Amino acid sequence: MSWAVLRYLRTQGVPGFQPLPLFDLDDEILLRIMENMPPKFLLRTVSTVNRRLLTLADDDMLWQQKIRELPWQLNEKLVATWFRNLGSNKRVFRLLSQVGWLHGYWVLDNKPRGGMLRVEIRETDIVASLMIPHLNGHDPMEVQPIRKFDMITPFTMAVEASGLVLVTCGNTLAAKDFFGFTGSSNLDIQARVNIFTRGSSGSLFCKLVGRGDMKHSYLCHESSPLRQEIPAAPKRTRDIRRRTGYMQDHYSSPSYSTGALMLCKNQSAVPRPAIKDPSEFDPRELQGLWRGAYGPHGTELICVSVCNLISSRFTELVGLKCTGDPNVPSGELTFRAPLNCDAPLVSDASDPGMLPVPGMPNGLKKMYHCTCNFHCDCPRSCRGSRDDAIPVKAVYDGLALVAEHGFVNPTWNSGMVVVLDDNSGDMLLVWKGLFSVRFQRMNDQSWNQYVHEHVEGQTMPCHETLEVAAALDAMDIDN
Amino acid sequence: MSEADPEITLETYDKHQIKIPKSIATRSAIINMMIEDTGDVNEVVPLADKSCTLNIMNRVIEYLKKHAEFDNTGADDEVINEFDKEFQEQSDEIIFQTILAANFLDIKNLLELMCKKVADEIKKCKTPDDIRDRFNIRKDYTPEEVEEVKRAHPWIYDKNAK
Repeated sequence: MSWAVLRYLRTQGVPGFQPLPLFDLDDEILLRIMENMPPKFLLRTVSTVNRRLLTLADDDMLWQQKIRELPWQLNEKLVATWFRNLGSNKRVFRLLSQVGWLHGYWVLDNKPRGGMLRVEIRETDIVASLMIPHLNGHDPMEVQPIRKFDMITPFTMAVEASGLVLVTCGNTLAAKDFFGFTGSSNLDIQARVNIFTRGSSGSLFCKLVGRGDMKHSYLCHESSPLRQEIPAAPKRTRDIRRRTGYMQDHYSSPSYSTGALMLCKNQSAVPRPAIKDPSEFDPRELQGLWRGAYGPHGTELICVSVCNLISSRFTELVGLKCTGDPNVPSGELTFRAPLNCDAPLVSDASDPGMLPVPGMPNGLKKMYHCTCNFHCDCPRSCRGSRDDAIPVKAVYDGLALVAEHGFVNPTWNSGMVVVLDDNSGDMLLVWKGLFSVRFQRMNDQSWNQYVHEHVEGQTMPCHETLEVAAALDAMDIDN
Repeated sequence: MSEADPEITLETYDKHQIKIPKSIATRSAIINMMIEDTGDVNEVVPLADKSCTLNIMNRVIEYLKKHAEFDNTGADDEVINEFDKEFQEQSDEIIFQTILAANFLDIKNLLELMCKKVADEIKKCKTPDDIRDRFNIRKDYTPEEVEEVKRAHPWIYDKNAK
């Protein structure tokens, strides 16, 4: 029935078509109904219907619930402080929906080393700290805090004056050095964030183009042609390619990049891995950031997620390198393990070495025995003879990537992810017959430890990045 | 009926009597309270709210029975969602009465379900005028006042706002 006919029937009071007497409901029930509406709709449409709805749409409890529904988790204390400063939960929501998405871990796209940036939204400021792998020597990580900038004054002012928050920051503080927002407004929630820091030479230091976040499980590379989530103008994509092209030329691997595969189709579309027995280990527990020492390359960070790769029909457990090394650079996969495939995987040209996996749920194997011939991080007790297999929580058979220096001849080696059954909660990644790397979960504590250990008296050691910076500096960066 | 689960007699607002097992009835916090108050399972429980007619109560009980069954069998979310979705598809009048009944009987998940349905109905309207038409709401704003509301919250109309 068309809308017009329906409307006619309703206004004429034809039985069965009387309008729902919405306003006979109590405030309490109306608020419950409003809880089920998206914030934008609530503000733009519902609150302009009439006065009663406007009053209801201002309800503090309603907005408290909307704040809780935001996809990022921020601590209660922060929300409470902001509430004190801003006076209403609606405003807190507004602020959070603008800056909350910054919170978390971000991936740097400077090949091959990559890097991680952590943005933390605190009660009075936003702090960003940057971790870039050291290139020379074995000291794996250098941690440099990017400066902080004070947020409390700008945002209270801005919220009261215009509702826009960081606009004031962008104009008055040096914040533009850190946060350059693309889009028509200075604040564009969908936009990329560019992190600029200016070294002594005044050159652009690094550029942030993707987000590696355990909560969103959404990793991407702006330069990827498969990029779908946020369609960028073709021109801009080319530009960015040119910029990141510098290192890619040095570490080139024609038409082969596992990182380009690393695009979840859609987080909500990712099916649950087939776990029949609730006592089975759930591979999704492995999701998040891990750090492990790749032998001579030093510590590297990987982001583990359960997702559907674009090129694959299966739900897979994958590890993406957040920081890389000259052999396998950042932005590439380091392992992949199909979780539940009902048919054998087919190897194809783009996936050399993809092994067939038996048609059964992965992860049912519970014993592990070390087969490493080179670097080995396996627990001591499982080395030696075949009888020395140790019980573990789960073993996921899959593939692990190896490559020669410069990401030449990348090859999928048969590999395993082993979830150790000790108190450490660590995970072992095994290249069968070659070597193994033990991973520890990255948490706030270990991050802070890095910052604490590395922060004092260090200068920016990343020469390679500075070279990129010099190359970039010549180009227009203010997109 | 077993002794552990005696039948309760409910009297609807339009004076019909319905018998249901106690385990189902106590899913409503209000009925549970009323039974505990009298302490006698043989006493007729009167439902005093005018939304609790025979027709509506039959639907509410259908919902409660189905969900009791889901809880007992540990049904998949998919099955539950399918039932809920079908249950929602009713005329406005029934939805409205079910909300009132669920609210009176204090059945949280049913109330939540029906509120979601109304929210979906409202979300189908694109403009404030559509909402007013759909739900027969009188417009009590003057155009000046609308402007004022817009001025008070300029960021609502910012096109980048989420």
